[in-house]
Formats: sequence, structure tokens, C-alpha cells
Amino acid sequence: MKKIAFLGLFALSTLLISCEEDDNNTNNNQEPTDTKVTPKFMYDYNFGADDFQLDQYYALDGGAQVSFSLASFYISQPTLVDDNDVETPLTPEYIIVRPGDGPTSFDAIESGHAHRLKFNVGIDAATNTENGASGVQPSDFTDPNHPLAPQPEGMYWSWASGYIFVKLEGAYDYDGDSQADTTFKYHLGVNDLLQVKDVMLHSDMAGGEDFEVDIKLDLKQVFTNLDINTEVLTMTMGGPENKALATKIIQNFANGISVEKHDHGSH
Amino acid sequence: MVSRLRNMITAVTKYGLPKSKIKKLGSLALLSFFVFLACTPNQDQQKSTAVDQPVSIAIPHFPEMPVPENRPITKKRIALGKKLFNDPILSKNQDISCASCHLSAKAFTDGRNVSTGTEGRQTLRNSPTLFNLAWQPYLFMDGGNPTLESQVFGPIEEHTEMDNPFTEAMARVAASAEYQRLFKEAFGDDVNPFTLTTALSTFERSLVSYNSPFDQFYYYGDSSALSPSAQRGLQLFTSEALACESCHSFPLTTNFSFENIGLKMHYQTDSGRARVTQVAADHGKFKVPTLRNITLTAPYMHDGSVETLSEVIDHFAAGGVGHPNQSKQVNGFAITARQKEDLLAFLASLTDTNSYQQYQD
Repeated sequence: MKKIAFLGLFALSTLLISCEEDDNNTNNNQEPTDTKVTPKFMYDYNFGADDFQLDQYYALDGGAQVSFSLASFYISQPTLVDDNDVETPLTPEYIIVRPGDGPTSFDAIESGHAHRLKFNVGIDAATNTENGASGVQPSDFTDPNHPLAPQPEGMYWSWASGYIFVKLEGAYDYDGDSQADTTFKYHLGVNDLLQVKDVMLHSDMAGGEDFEVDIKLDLKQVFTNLDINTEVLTMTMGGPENKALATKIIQNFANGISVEKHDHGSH
Repeated sequence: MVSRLRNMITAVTKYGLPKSKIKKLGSLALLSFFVFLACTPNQDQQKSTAVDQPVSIAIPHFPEMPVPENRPITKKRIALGKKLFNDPILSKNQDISCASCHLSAKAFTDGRNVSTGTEGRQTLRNSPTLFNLAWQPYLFMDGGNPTLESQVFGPIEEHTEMDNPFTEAMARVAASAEYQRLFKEAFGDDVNPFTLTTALSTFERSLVSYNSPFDQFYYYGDSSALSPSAQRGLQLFTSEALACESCHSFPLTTNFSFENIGLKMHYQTDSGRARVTQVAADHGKFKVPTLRNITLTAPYMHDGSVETLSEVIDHFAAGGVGHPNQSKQVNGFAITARQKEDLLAFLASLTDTNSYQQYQD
């Protein structure tokens, strides 16, 4: 994995300040330790303007409601990019995200400027096993806690050998009486449906601090141009209509993801 | 002779043999067809199998068995996989095991049209034989899975089969003190996704069938192994007119290609290979099955819709229903009643009643 540190003027000034501080201390051999920054992803599920929780009804247009029993998805290959397009891949490389999950702490990187953040919604094609044994499979892992190991909700198609990028399941209540009228299952994946997010952060990363980024997901976006009466099931594969529906939903899902530097004042 | 050979095999696997003895055994392969060789493990294997000795399964007239380098076959792993295979612990309701749909006496099929999972749920497909799985380049009739290890997730998690999250099945196995001990002995490691899938895949790789009258006749020159009728059937099988062997290629009796055999015009409930590839031209195509032990694995076809081998021959003789994706090889042929009997006699000669017995307790 290519890992290129980006040190800007900010980092340099931090280093100088550290040296001055060292001069004031008796221990002149102390290495400066505050050039590193720990990136963190904070996850925030919403449904429109409401906070989101599983198994709660949320209003859709026309008086219908929807509740989710599952809303899990993969993030892969998160990468920070500086002003000079120098990329710093973050570790861990694969993350499974579920409602209510706490933050992901990445390995420390050099401080500097985070111009952009890139990541995939889904698993990159080189890793995803799609009709071939060259990729990664859940059976490869001795660590059951690895995100690509078998997951309780089943994030892998054993019958088609690929990871499910986004798994949404739940129920529709068409008449608004808070009783489920039908269930829905949207299992979205395959390599050409990988969604790449590339967003502007334009934030300095101060050494010695956490660099916290909010990954906000608005699940209401999933229902953009979706006919909830007829479009209730897709496993992505199994026919062109399934693929078309999966394509629409995963694009809606990815459009519902926004990213911004975490503002401590707002919480 | 069979029991004598089995004893010999047991001795080889149990104690290992000096090279000279192994060479001698190799010369006996003409008689035995089946040799377990206790090999000197390479460094990687030694690392991963410090607690058990690897064995390799070599069948002289088969291609070399492909075995992942990090998953060498060992006796303890075979035994552990066999125990898991027969244990309902993996299923949601703990009511069925792998062996429920893969009975050794039926060459690891179940005799049903389609298999029955937990709570009596019906699957879409006929239970396939598990013999010689080690040579399959991809698993399932649509080829949707590339390895024996990740195939394990299929029957465990599928709603119409065991309907159990793999993580739950794994937690149950890990909670068993006996299984903890057996995994430590077989892998030097805990129950985890790698070890659990490897135990099952190792047992499956050990299921080999190689010792039919056809093998004795065709590969080892025993002219008495096939009746004159079966010999005529063999000629028909390989003839240009019938062209059976173009897909059911020797020695494994499959070339692993995906073919639409014109079983029906519409495959609404199971599109076969197209489910995986999304390609319309793959609609109704299924992987060519092995014909080894075919007399033990009725009913036939992907959906078990044909009850007898005689009807299977009738289907191919009629040339299928003319599906747009139908294989060019399925174009019909003329066959007399006597030729049909000969062909059936040959198909019966592919039955290896010795192999499955050694997998029974």
C-alpha cells in the first residue's frame, strides 16, 4: 500500500513550536510527538430531518411509512488527498457501518491539509470476489471480527461470490396505521455498482489531535423515484430488472451520504 | 480384495510409509486405483499443520487434485469435517445436517426431486453428488461460487436450507468444549471462519470416487470389468453420433461447462447460469454434472424432474425442446432399444459401490 505523508507549512510550524517547547524543558532529547493526527469517522444516520433508528416508522410521501430492520453498508479504501493530489490511504481499509455504530479510529497519519476525502460505498473490485477465486472471501479470515469476515446479517452472496455493498431490509406501511403491509429487501452489490464518494473537506489537520469527520447518511434519499408499491425486492442479480432497481437504490443511497468536518460545537 | 485394499490405505494414512514402500504402492495402483500418500510436508504446510500430518490424495488416472496451499488435507481435519458434516448443530433449528441432503449410500445425494431444508422448505434444485468435488473449478450448478470454502456459507445461510447465519453456526460450534478440543488438535487454532470452512472443505475434498468397473476396464485394462453390452455402450457414449463424452469428458465425466440441454422452454423459477452472469444467453444453462455413480443419484436434471436414466436418454435422443440457448450438442440421435440397453449398461458401469462404503461409519 502506498502511503505518502503530507507535511505542510502547518506541520512545519508545529514542529518548530515543539522544538521551542523542548528548549524550555530539561529533556532536550524528547522527540516531537505531535506531528501525527488520528483521523476518525463519526457516523450519523438520519431520515430527513429526524434522527434514525432501526425498527421505527418514518413518514414517506402520500401517508405511507417505512421502517428498517437492517441498514448496513461497507466503506472501503478511505483516502485523504492534499492540495497537491497526494493521497494518504487510511487504515483500516474496510469498514462495515450500522446504525448506532461508534466512530472508526484510523491509524495515525502525518498532520497537514485534508483537501478531499475519497472512499467507496462497497468493496473495491480487486478485493470483491465476483465469479473468481482471486478476490477475498469471508472464509479467508481467522479473525472473526474483521469487517470482511462473515457478518451476522450476511454481507456476502455465497451463491454469487461477492460482497453485498449495502443491505437494506424492512417494511412498508402503505396506509399509515403503523402496521407492516409488506416487507422490502434491497441487497445491493456487484462491481459495477461500486459508488465512489469524493468530497471536499478543505480542512487543516492539527498535529496531536483527532481529525474527526462526520459521515452523514440520510436514508430518506433511498426513496427518490422509488415505487414502494412494486419495487420491494432486489438481490441485484437474477435479471435486468433487478439490476436496474439495485442501480437506482444504491445511487440514491450514495447520494444520501454527505461528509463534513466534525463540528464539536454542534453536539 | 476391496477390504484388503482399504486396510492398506488405512495403514498408509495412519503410519506413513518410507519412500521405497510408497513407490511399491504406486506400482500397485493398477489394482488399488487409490493411494493416500503420506508426504513430507513443505515448509508452509509444516507451519499450518504443526499439530497434524498432511496427506495427499493421488488417483493415478485423475488430474492432480488441486488443494489450496494454506489448506492442506490432514487426517484430523477430514475427521473433524466429517463430524461437522453429520452434525445438525449448523442449522437454525438444529434439525438437519449436511448429511440430510447428501447421503453416502446415494453417492451423497438424497433421492428427492429437490432437496428439503429446515421446516420442510423446498429448495429449487436436486441435491448434487459430492464425490470428486475437489476437481470442481466452481461450485453450485450455476457456478456462482469459486471455492469449496466459501461454498460452505451457501447451505448454512440459505433460507430454504439450514437458514442460519454463519456467525451463529460458528458461535455454537465454538461453545462446544469437544469441538474446541478437536479444532485445536486439527488446526492448532480456535473455531473461526477459516478453520470452520476448512474443516468442511477438507472432508469434502476427501470424497473421491475412482474405482468403478469403467475405471478398471478403461484405464487399467481389465477386459472382464465391463460386460459386452456395457462395452458397446461405451462405444456409443464416445461416438460422434451421440457425442456424450464431448461434455461428460473422461475421467471426471464432466468438462464443467454450462449448457442448456433443452429440458424446457421456460426456466422461470431457476435461470441457472444467468442468475450469476445476468447474460440472457446463459438462461437455462447449468453446469454439466458428473455421471459417476449415476445409478445411485436418481432423480435427474437440475430440478430432479426426470425419474429414470432411460427417460434421460429419451430426452437427449429427442433433441431437447429447442430452447434458443440450447447446446448444439443436444441435437437428437437415433437409438435402437438394444443400443439403449447397452448405453444404460455402460452408465451403470460408472457406479463405484466401493467408494461410498468407506465413508460410512
